[in-house]
Amino acid sequence: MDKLRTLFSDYRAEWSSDLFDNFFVIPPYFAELEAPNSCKLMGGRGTGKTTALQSLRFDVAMPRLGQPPTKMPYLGIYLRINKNRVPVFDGPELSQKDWDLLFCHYINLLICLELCHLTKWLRVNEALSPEFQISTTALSLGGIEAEICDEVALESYIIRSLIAAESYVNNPKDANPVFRSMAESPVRYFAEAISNGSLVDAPLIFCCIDEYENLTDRQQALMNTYIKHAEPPLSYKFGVRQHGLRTHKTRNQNDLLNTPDDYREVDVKNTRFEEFAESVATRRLTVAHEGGLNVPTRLSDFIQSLSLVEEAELLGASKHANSVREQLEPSADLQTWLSSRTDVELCFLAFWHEKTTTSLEQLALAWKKNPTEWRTRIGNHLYASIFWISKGWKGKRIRKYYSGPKTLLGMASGNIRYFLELLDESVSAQLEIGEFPGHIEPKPQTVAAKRVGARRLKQLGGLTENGIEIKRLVLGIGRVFFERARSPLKRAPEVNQFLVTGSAEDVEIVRRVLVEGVSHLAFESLKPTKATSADEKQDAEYRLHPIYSAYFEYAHRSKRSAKFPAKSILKFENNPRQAMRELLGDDFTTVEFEDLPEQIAIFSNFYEGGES
Amino acid sequence: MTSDWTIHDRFEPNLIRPDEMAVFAGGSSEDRGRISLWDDVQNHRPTRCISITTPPPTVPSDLLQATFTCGKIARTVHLRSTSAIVEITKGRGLFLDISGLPHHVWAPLLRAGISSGVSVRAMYVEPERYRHHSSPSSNSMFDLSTGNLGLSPLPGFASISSNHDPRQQVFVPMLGFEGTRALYLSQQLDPSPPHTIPIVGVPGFRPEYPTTTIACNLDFLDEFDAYSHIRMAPANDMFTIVKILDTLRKEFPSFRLLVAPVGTKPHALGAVVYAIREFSHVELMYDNPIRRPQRTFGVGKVHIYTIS
Repeated sequence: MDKLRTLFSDYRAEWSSDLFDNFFVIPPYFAELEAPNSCKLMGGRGTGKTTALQSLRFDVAMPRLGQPPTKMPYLGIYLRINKNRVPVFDGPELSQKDWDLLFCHYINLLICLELCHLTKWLRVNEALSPEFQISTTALSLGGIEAEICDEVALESYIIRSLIAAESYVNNPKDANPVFRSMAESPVRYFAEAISNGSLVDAPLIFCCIDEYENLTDRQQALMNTYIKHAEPPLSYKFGVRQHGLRTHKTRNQNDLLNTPDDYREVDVKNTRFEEFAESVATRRLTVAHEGGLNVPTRLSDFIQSLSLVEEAELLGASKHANSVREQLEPSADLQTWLSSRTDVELCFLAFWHEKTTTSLEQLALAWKKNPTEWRTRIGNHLYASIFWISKGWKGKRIRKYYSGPKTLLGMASGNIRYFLELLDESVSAQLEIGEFPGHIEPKPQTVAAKRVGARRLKQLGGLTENGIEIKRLVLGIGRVFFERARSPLKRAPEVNQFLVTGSAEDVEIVRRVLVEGVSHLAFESLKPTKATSADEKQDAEYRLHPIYSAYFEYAHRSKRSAKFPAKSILKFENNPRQAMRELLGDDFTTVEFEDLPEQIAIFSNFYEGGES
Repeated sequence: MTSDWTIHDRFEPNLIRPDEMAVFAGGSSEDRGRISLWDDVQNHRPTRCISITTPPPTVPSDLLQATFTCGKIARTVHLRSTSAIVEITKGRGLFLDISGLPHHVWAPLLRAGISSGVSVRAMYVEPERYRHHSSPSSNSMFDLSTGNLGLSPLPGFASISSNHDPRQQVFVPMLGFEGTRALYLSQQLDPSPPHTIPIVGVPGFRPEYPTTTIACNLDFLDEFDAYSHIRMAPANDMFTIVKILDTLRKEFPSFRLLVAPVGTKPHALGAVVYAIREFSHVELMYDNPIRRPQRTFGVGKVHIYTIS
């Protein structure tokens, strides 16, 4: 069982070095990364960017490619931008130009340090020719040519240079100035040296830079110049969150970084995610199956789905059906019609009765007269009615099931870490019930989906500088959609998106929070409107990330939009009660506290907060 | 370092030694942030007092300078410049009232004092109570900050030369009432370090504070399953923090300590002193909160720590 428990538990690429070979599945966009051009890999935290970029690193790529170093088509290095370090290259003590020079020197040192590691590895693997020369790189980094004869000496020199740079940035007024290498230059020299001095056939050199969003706008402009000027054999692969590439400027104000001229763009989420995620899960199931675990190798056999009819039955459609039968039995015209109706159909009739306030008998007669119209109606509204079935039934633990590959993939919405987390938690929830039956039933999947939503919600507060603001918005808007899903009466079904309206100023304030929320997977933006510039897009429509749909018990699939005034949304900051009242409408009766799902009820202090 | 630490019911000017340069906040919306007696002290010994003002920061680079006023002379000082700080403090021993000064101001002062070899004493005045949140959530019972400027090194404490493997790091957050702060800093570490060892102030300044601290940090503690790893240090005791960090260095000899001083101010003091001493093994992680005006009320006990 331990093997089963850990089968999907590994959603951090960095922890899986021993499992990398077994579990790594080539993502559908990988050919773009392996191409000679530079490439921007865009996706939220957990979408697999880091795994993909790290898999290009020389020592990880070799076993994956199954080639000796001399036959490898490319040699990659990997660098992560550390958010606790890059802000230091700014301040009143030096001019902006001096800081820029210092930052470029720092980046040169970091990249060259990684290239030293690559060179050492090539030498160990006898893939370095005797002609390999490091002197130009050493000179360009300010080293003394005669003292730096190989990559080991250069590595040591770079470490000393980093220490000198550290002393300087911590006290630029008092410390001795440091040598500042020219932007890009040492990196280019080093790449050429490896290209000319290795025994690898025409190797491409990939410089993979992760967490590009951590650079300040000005630093991005500097790094953009590296990317713009990259020439074979060198190219850059940079991982960035959505909205994380905040400027396309380069050092030269008139020279913008453009796609596709300077780099290709890959949006992880929009690149056959479902196919990729299914392959990742299937690979793990196959490994487990071959290792003797009682699991199927097909994902659809592993996580059970429910049809809408099955789900309605499980949720208690028969209770409504019995009530409808009791009420319609006296009507002689409806006897035969009634006896041929299923529980779910009669439950739907009860739902429609509550939605339209037309009498049950009138509706039943209309159905009898025009069955085609009602078949269409059921097709369109049965899903929405599912959320209503258990309304008012106190103590009901599950009011909507979230199960099956399609639902879980939809909830993960392009995020492989979320998908694996849903599977992992589903396994745990299944094992809590008792012996493992060889598959995951819908109920533990639903329990797992709520737990994952809860965990993500907990993390939200800390994800960003404005995490609390974003969390308040998620709590507020999630509750609004919960309420709407439970009371679909006189309303369009499945409203789970929203459009922000109001004065340009208010909309802009809300938009800023939402865009940051999108970057951190609290929200998703839909239908981007016309770009106002190369890198700034206005997003008109938003929804909560579907990973929260089970937590707030509304539809995970993207459907209809409501208009939310920005002024009301802003009230979630200090007056959530009023914000909800405005977004739901004055006549809306929210669910009683006792009837709230426990995961929502625990935030009642927040929902009740604010002035009345 | 000796654990010389005294506790007083209230601040008295004679607690300052005649040769010390007294340094305190130029203004504060908190009662304890700038106690009224500083006005008397300033009138009495104008050339041996420095009051520091900082405009509300909007970007991280705003955290790099402050206005130091000594007598009638006001100067803008670059906080990363040890020589500028030593010059304005005239090389005297320092008596720092850190109660109303933000971390980005007192930490460089401490560093300048220690590195220039003068005596350094720090004073911390407890508040009587904290401002409650009008619509609290699980990790924001108190309303202490309006946001933060994000992860950025305290002036003079940037660590850019270490190339440590992320799997060889220990995250040591000092927990306080703002549960999202440790959570935020932990989220900046991806992958998470293999060890997370939170420090909680026990006993607290008030009996209920340790429980409140845990309650405000449940999300963080749950996320890292860190309950069983919690270490405790009295909330007002900077010296126990130094000892704990020293112990952790010995327990994890090849690891780098990522220390987040986001708990009590005396804990932060201990963390900063340790980071000055063990710079190559310790990296401070700080989120630079934007303090809410009037975040605390009242004036409580006074603590004076002899640091060097």
